[in-house]
Amino acid sequence: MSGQAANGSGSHWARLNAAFDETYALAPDARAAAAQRLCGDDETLLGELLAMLEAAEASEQAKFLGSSILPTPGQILAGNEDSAPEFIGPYRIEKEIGRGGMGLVYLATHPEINRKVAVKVVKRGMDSDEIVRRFRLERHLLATLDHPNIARLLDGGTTADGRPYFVLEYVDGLPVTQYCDQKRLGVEDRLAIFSQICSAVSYAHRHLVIHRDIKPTNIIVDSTGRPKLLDFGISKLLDPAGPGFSMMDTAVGMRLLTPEYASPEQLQGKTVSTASDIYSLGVLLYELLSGRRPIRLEGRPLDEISRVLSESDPPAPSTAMSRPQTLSGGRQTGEEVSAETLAKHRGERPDRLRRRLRGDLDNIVLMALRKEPDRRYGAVEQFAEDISRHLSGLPVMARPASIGYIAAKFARRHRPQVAAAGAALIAIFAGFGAALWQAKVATDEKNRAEERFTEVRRLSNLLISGWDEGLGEASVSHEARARLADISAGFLDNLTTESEDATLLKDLGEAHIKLGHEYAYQLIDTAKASAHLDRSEAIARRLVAAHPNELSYKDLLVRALLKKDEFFGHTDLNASLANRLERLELRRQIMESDAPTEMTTRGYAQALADAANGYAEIGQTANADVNFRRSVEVFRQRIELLSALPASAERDTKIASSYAFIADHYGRQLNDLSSALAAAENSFRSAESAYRTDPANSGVVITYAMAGFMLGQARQRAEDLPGSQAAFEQVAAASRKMISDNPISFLARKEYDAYLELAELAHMNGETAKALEFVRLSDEARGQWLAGDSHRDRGRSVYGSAIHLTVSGKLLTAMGRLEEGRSRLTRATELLEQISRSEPKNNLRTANRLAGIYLTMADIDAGLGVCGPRQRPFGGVTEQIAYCKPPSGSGPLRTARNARSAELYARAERVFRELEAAEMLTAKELADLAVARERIHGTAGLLASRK
Amino acid sequence: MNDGGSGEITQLLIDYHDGKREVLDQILPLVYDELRAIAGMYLANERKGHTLQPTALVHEAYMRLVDQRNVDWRNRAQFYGLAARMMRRILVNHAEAKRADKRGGSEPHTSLEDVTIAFDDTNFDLLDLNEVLDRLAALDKEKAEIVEMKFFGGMTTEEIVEATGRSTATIERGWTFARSWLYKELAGGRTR
Repeated sequence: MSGQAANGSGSHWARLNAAFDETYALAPDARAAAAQRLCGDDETLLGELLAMLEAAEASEQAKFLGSSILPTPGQILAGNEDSAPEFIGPYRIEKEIGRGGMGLVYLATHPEINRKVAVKVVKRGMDSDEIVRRFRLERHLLATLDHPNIARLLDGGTTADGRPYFVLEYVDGLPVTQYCDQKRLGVEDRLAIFSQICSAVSYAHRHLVIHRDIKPTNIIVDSTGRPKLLDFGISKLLDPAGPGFSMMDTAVGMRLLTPEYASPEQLQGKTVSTASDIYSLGVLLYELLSGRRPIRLEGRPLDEISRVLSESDPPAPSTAMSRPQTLSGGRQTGEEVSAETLAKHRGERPDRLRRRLRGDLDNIVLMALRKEPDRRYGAVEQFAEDISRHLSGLPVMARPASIGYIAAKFARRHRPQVAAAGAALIAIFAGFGAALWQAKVATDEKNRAEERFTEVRRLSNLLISGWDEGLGEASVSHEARARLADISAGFLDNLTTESEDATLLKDLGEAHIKLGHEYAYQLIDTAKASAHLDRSEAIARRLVAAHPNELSYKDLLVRALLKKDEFFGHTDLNASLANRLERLELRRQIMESDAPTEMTTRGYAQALADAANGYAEIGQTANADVNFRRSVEVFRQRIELLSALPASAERDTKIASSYAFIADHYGRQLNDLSSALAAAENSFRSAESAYRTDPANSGVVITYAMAGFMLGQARQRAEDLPGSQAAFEQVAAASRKMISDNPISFLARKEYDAYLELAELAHMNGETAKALEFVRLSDEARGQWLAGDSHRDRGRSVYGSAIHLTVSGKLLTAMGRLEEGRSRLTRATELLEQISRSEPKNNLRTANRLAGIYLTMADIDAGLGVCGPRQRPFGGVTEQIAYCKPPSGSGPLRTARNARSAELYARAERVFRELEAAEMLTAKELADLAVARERIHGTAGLLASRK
Repeated sequence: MNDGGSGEITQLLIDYHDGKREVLDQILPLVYDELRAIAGMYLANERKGHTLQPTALVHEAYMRLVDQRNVDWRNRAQFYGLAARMMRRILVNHAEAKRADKRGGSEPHTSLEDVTIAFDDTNFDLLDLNEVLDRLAALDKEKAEIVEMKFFGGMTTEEIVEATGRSTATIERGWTFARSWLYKELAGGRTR
């Protein structure tokens, strides 16, 4: 390395450089002395400088690098990949069949199955990060596509020298234009082939892939006459929000495409959507039908091409034949093809072909070729649908651009958003899209535009209900969820306009609520959640102001307010109370606008309970009690209304949940244990009846588990331990049965919580072995849920684990298993610390928990035992049972324990201070905090006195 | 792939000039394909007694690829600079392939001639030069570029001045220094 390692620092290199320039400019015999002088004490520099001077002379003499070595043409030709390799992976290479700027395609066979395949590999020397990334993207996209008209991905790997490759189905045939000409296919046959191409492109769109380079050479028709779409090399994931897979900026990407088939927006470097593929399909159909391309572009520079495309309209295909132009695909030969030849290739005479194209087909092609993406077909399905309508002799949707467009002003205003949104949604709801686009052909432009608008709204509803039905609790990967949410958000942003269309606005308001919920609960993104909820509230307020008598708008406003309060209420208790009181008023108006129903009574009763809780938070207990009692009354009114209905599982679940509210109000708020127990018994009875009727309905099972759990706790508090045990056993069994084939997190939680409750009961009965067995069962249930939970690394699930460890840890401690209990608690603190680090936005409840556990552990370590049920700060329902262990130990052990507990108390105190600083505590939490503080200080004194 | 035509490369060069370095990945394949096409034509003609200077080859590629109307004076030199990088890649890949063949033994008769360069009284390996040049680039990117343009691209000092916008004196000093340093590194490596 001859001292080069020492050159690391820039200044050293610069000094060497300067010294060399200065000394080398001198006469040869003066150089050494000058070098000595320049370097002074720096021996390293001097050594290098002398070596450089020596090398300078020697290289001069040797004429080192004296003449350049450009590669010979032969070397250039042999180039980056000397010759086809013999094998790539297990595939025997036969010959090169294609090459692009970055990749090579070989025909190859798999030696064992003797099947012909195409192997695509990055050129040697071209494997820059960007190219390899794009290459992998293509492979990734292909892997998600499985369609009879798309060349299938078979395999992939890395060559011996590290270049990625993948293996595709080999399609032996001709580009679609040549195939059709060679077979002299008539217009009908060409349309049939084209429809198959449409089905491939539309399939890709539904999988969020835009091809971006649709042209004849990328569509090969095999010997059976089936076209196959190839080369997704510059395709792109349709994703308005995701930087993850959009492989490069559009401006660069566009230069790799083929201008003749590219849409104006592609050439101008604007946003590319599915509409761009529709344009390319339009060019292709134009050429298939007429033998000409819509606009002659050969030989023009790029800027001129995009100017031409944006200024001139293509002539109708029926008139294009007469235009002199070279044969498609025969550009190199430069031969002019006559209209007669073109017609002959289509088995027609020119005049008959012209007549055949005039009208529908002209209109269809020109519709696809419109310059503005939003004025083309909204989806490939529509394009294909129009062709099939034409073939069946039905009227087509496409019409020449006319005054009709201008008449449709209202819809037009929404159209850019409509088109973009429609495409994204169709892509998301694979399968739904096609069905939805079977729109009736409207009699005039205006109706049609509005109808399309309605369709988009229906799609938006689908998107929204998709969250509930498809995704609500499903184990979808976090990334997929986030992507869907961001796509949906982008779509909503596009749709939100100053529109006065009330029903559209309502849909938008709903959608914002759903997304707010998704961001808050599933994706833990507080800022986005807040933004969506604010928008839904604003929309709802506008609607209520404009239509004061429309109840559904009030309902929307209530729900928007509720979500806001749910997520952000704890940050400002007075604002939260105002929010609750506004909801209460709205719910009252809704209920009193007509005879009360079970729906409106439920809404009002819940609003009353919310208001009561709001009062309780700020310490106005009298107001709280009044509202709780009123809520109980309204729930009873609801139960009456429901009881009048014919019996059904649905009715009984509703009755059960009404009683559950009543039980909760009595038990937790009004401190009336016997009324609470009675209501819990009623609740469970109704839930049981529903469960017997419909045991496979997850909603029913959830209610049953919830009611059973509540009953178990109510009986426990009433000191009916066997009754409590029976209830928990039923909860565990029903939950387990349901989640074995339909994993639902609520039930999983109920199952392992129920086992812990059972363990606790067993412990209270002195049945230690049984208690341990229940803890084991609970661990097992938790483990099974985790194994199937794709969110397991996310905060919500980690949090669940921490709670489970906390509760079971305390239980084990109480059972005298101090080591095991402590290690669970320690693990719980680790998990919670991890959450606070990774999701600081969601810190509050985590910090609460954490402080509580530190306190418990410190108590245990101090030998104080764990405090009783009623004083437990920040405890959850399950934790409010005392586990006390008398102090034990002495001497060094006790000193060590004292030190550790002091440290833990200090840590808890630190977390408390953070909580206070965050100013996000409720009145109740502040009170709990004061209790905890008292304990910390009292204990500190105790510990000090022990020393 | 080349359907993009001359407008494409011109725009890419303009972008490259404007500082969009990532564009290089898009330009090089285009330049390479064009060079390859010209080399093919050249080889076909060679049999008829024609000869073509390598620099002429680059020039022709430039003429074919670049839309003259859109190019300011500097782009031509930049194109040559890019071509120089391409040439280096081609030669290095070629040499690597030869070396691989030698190891694999499939072509035992392959000589070292076209991968070695006259140096002192012995030869040194192009791949060694390539490696040392990479090291130089890590220390001093500008100097490595000068070597690339001059040695692999056959560019004159004036052309390098044009392409880089630096002064003649800077280019000359840089060249002397870089050449000496490379020599020193290669000689040092050889004697060890």
